Amino acid sequence: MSADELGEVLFSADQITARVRELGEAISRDYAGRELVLAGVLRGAAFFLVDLARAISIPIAVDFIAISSYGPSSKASGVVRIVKDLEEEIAGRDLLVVEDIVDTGLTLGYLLRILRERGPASLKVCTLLDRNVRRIVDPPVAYRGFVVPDKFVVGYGLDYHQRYRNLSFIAALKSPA
Amino acid sequence: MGIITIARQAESGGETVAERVAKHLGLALVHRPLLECLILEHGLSGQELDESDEIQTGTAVSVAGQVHVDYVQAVLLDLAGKEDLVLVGRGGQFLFRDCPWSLHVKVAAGLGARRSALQQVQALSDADAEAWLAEVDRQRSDWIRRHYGADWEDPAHYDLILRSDRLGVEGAVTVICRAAEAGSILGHQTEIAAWMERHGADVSADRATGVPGFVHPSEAEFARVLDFYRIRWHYEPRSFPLAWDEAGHATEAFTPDFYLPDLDLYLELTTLKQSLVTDKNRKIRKFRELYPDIQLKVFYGRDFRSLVQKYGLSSTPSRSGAAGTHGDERQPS
Repeated sequence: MSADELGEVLFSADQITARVRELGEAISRDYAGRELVLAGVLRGAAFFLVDLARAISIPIAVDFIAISSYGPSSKASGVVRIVKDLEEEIAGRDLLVVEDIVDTGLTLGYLLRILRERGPASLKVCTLLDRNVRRIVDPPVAYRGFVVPDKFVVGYGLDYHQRYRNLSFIAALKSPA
Repeated sequence: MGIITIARQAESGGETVAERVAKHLGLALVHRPLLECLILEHGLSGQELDESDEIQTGTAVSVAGQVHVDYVQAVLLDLAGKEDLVLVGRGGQFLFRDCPWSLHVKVAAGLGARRSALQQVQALSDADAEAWLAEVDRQRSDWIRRHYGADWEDPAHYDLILRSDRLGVEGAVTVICRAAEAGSILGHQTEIAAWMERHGADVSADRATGVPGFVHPSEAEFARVLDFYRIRWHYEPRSFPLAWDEAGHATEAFTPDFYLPDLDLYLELTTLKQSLVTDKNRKIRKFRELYPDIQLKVFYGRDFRSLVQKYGLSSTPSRSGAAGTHGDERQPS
């Protein structure tokens, strides 16, 4: 891990902990008496989901989902697809999709379309970070941790070439040379 | 290119007729094994091909099902632009309905003949066999209605309707081949390329292969991103007049780059430097005044460049992910 690549710390570990606690309390209030399933979107949301789940005081189920990424290998052909599906049956249950960051909304838009077809009692989104300057698809974000500017951010699950996920804080990556 | 589409009643022998026609004329037969190979190249699976299939239960069009139908259509159109085809089912008569170099055929047969054909492969009573035949045809009819809003039974959709039990398979093949030759539908690659381009806004095949006419290469690549995320789009489908002369003719117009029908959203992407966007800003302000109910999202210089970098669209990409390729659109691992 090269500290030289890291720029400004945007959210400290304490700030994240406090905000996650607030989100957990809000979710516990809103879903009291209901059957809630948290669905974390791999891999970035894993860290956030684990802390969020522990900040929620009502009974919940936890599950994960993963989708394919757009990249150089996708350019000639290919479409987004679920590469690791939920194992929980969500029909008739309240589903809260947990994201690390919502950016253009393209992937989340696809994910919500697919999940909605499975007939959950409700379907909402909780994202740690919301970067809306490039938003194309507007998913219904019910809970957001922080709004972030148009910077490449790493830490607390967010990576740069798989590095920095394990930082306890969120920092901007310095601009490329 | 020419297309022979063959719709068929259950157990009418339509598949066999299609196979023989393809062999006789030397055309590619589009059947399930070929489609499986093609859609695998496009990142879909056999299961997803099932979701696009004509035999589907339920009355609603699922998002996944429609997406897969769209994608299989894209694959078919892509294929049709390269060679002459015989296409069995899958709404080919509607997909290529306006194509002048197509022949739309329906193969039918009397109930008794179809029942006997089924009973040769399945030990069913007469009543069960007839119920099975009716159910298959009903599902095909429902599928056409859901995806094309048309009546499968309407003879107006077909150039030829043949009874295979009266003509025999070979007789049906002869009639179809002669009709194809009489109509000179085969071998029109140049003309069909133009037809595909004109109809590009309505189908998605050209998205995967790149529609000619994008003003900027990044737009073509951005279109691929939309395809990847299964977002339907049209490129510059509409110009919005902004000013008119005394005779009422438009003297100035604004044409957004993309329209996303599922989101009812227009997108304007610009690679212009900030110093050069003054005129575009004026146009956009005017557009918003004149068309307040039309949703428009504008990506200016830096936003667009970061979007281009985010998806690795730049021809000379900077450090991978420099503009943020994680989060809801993850980096490839």
